[in-house]
Amino acid sequence: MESDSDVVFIDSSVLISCGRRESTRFQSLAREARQRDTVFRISPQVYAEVTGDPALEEYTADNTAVDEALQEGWMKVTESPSYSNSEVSNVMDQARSFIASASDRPEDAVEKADAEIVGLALELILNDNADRITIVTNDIPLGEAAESLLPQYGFDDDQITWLTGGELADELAEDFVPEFD
Amino acid sequence: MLSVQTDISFGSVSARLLRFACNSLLEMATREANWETPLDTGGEVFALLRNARKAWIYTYIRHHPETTIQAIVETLELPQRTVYEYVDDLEAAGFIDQANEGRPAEYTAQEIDLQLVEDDTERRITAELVEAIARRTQDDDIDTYIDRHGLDGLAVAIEYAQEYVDGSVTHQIMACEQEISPLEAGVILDALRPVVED
Repeated sequence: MESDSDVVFIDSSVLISCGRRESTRFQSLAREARQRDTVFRISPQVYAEVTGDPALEEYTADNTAVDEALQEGWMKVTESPSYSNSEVSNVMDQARSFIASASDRPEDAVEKADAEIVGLALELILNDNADRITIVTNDIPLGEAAESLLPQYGFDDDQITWLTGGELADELAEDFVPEFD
Repeated sequence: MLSVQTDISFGSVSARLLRFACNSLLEMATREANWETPLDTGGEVFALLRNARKAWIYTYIRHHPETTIQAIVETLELPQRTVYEYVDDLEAAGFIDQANEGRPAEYTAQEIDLQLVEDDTERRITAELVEAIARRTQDDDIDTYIDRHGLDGLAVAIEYAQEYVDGSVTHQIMACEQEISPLEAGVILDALRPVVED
């Protein structure tokens, strides 16, 4: 695995919001990747979530946009995190716990797979393969889990950043119905 | 049998709890003597839920206090006659008031907060629900969601959207609890964000 100074993970909630207006929001995402001179990473589970849904055709969500991004090279699908690595597995369980607590739900209401982004980030930290990690998600409990748990593994607070889609790019938070502004 | 409980205050009119049953004949169970047009209020709420354009006009006025008919016609690009008719209906029901004296009339919206009770099910009819319905005219995703899950599904989704912006739910949790796909949950939460984020 190559060593990147700045690694950015995009979660499914953000990709789903980008898919709502065909490629317009995706163009903004592409621009951000270019400006940051980085390739955005998504997990295999995120890829499956945003492309494999039969309900897709009913919504304006455009499943080709993700594949185009992969082809154009500014986004890539990573390997799954290593569930057999005890630290990686552990941090994902901790993230599950954190999310369950933040949402006042029982722990089994949260799937381990939903916290993969935290496991992937930890793998980079453990392998010393990144200087800074940015996690982009609109799921607030997940973002807070990442910010809270990952610094405990030897990263400084400012080496882990959680951004919502709107914080990554203004267009991702724009309202489509402007007359209510 | 459907019943509607309303608790609306209109400035100088004090809050009252009113309960009446809605069917095609609109029977009233109880009524306060000085309550204005309760039948119109109940009927008008259902009209708002069924008529996205009327919901759109109400929501526009709510976001732009003291607006005029002309402004509504121009901004929403609706026929003047339609706007006049719908504004009259909304005013008769007490959902909007003329805020000034004289012409051109300037309208301001009252908040809507009603509770719909049927057997064991309760649903709140709020200005947010009306706004979500209004948005279906512009947002295909909300339109699709209503087609797939009805207004009840939309009302439930708005509750989740409030939790979402408060940071107390993820889209996967909503998907699991509502038995929809994570993608559909993610779409509707994104679509309703501006509705609940004031």
